Amino acid sequence: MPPKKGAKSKPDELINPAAYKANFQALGFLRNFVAIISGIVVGICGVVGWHGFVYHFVAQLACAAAMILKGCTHPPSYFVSWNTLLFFGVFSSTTMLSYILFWMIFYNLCHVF
Amino acid sequence: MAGAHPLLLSSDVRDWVFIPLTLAIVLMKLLTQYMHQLFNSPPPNNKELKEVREMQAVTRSGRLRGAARFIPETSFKMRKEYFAGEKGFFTQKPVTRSPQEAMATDPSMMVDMMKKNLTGMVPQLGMGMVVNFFFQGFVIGKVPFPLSPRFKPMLQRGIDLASLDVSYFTSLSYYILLLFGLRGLFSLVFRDEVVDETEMMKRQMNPMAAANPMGVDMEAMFKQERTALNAMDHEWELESAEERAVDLLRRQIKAKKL
Repeated sequence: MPPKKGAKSKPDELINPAAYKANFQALGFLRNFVAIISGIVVGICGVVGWHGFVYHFVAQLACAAAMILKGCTHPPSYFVSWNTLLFFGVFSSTTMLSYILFWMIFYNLCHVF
Repeated sequence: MAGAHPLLLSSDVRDWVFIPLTLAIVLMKLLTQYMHQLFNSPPPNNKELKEVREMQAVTRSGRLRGAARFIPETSFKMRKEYFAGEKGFFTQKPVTRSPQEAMATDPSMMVDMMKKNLTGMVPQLGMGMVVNFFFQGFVIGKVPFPLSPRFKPMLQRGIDLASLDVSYFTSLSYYILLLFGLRGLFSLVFRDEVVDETEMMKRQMNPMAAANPMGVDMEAMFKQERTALNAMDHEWELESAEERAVDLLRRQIKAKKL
């Protein structure tokens, strides 16, 4: 699990920049991965329609929950706040587009032809 | 509108177009990534000693202003005199050229930018043309969700059927979708150094901001530092440090005694 940030002293907290950046990179990596995998699964299942996007957000939430279970017991000490963990890459174009692309590819491969 | 009749696409299309196109684009992206890494030499650092010295002097004086509370008065005065005094460092004329001049007379930076453009943009454009030439005029797949008719020209270039469902797309639009979507996949495979085209496009939009790390205009900065240093009021925080320490210790001893 990515390293913790530096010492906490109220009210200001010290942030170790290398560790912080590494945490963010790990989060981004996981989000991308989950987007692609969930896109593949949803495509194979043949989900059609706008509610397919709901599965994307559900999967991202599951990813955040998995992170909390795995090691990040107290999110404000790894990221600055809860919001960062929940919403960081969810609406970024990279993850969304990857999800759409893989959804499309596998839907086409399995259901259209 | 024809939403209820799903088009039946023959599996030949899938075998000969969809899968090969996907594989070809993935391979092309891999190639461009590796070419980028091979050709990407760091930009030549052509700063002379004097320029580096000036930049560092500016940094030092900024730090001096920030941390002046910790040094005694005479030390501060000595440093101030060195920087902003009569024959101080900042009164000399800076050697650094302004950024405009630097960019124009610096051929190596131009060559670098051109190299980056070449390895990045040209293969993609070329591939787009190839795709357009070979796989033109037919529908290649279906998007899994319903779209409004405004997306029709975007997804169906070259086909003018008004009754064709907007969800079906042609190979060119599929190519563009692939280009964007594979960014995510490639950022998984290569941890760093991934998306160079979007960075390049952003960089081309502000060429002035990103290009010159030397500092905007050395002369103006020298003046700024000079006035700031002269206007500073120095107060040594540690002046009464010894008395405060004695007080604190006395209090602690008293408390422990009780």
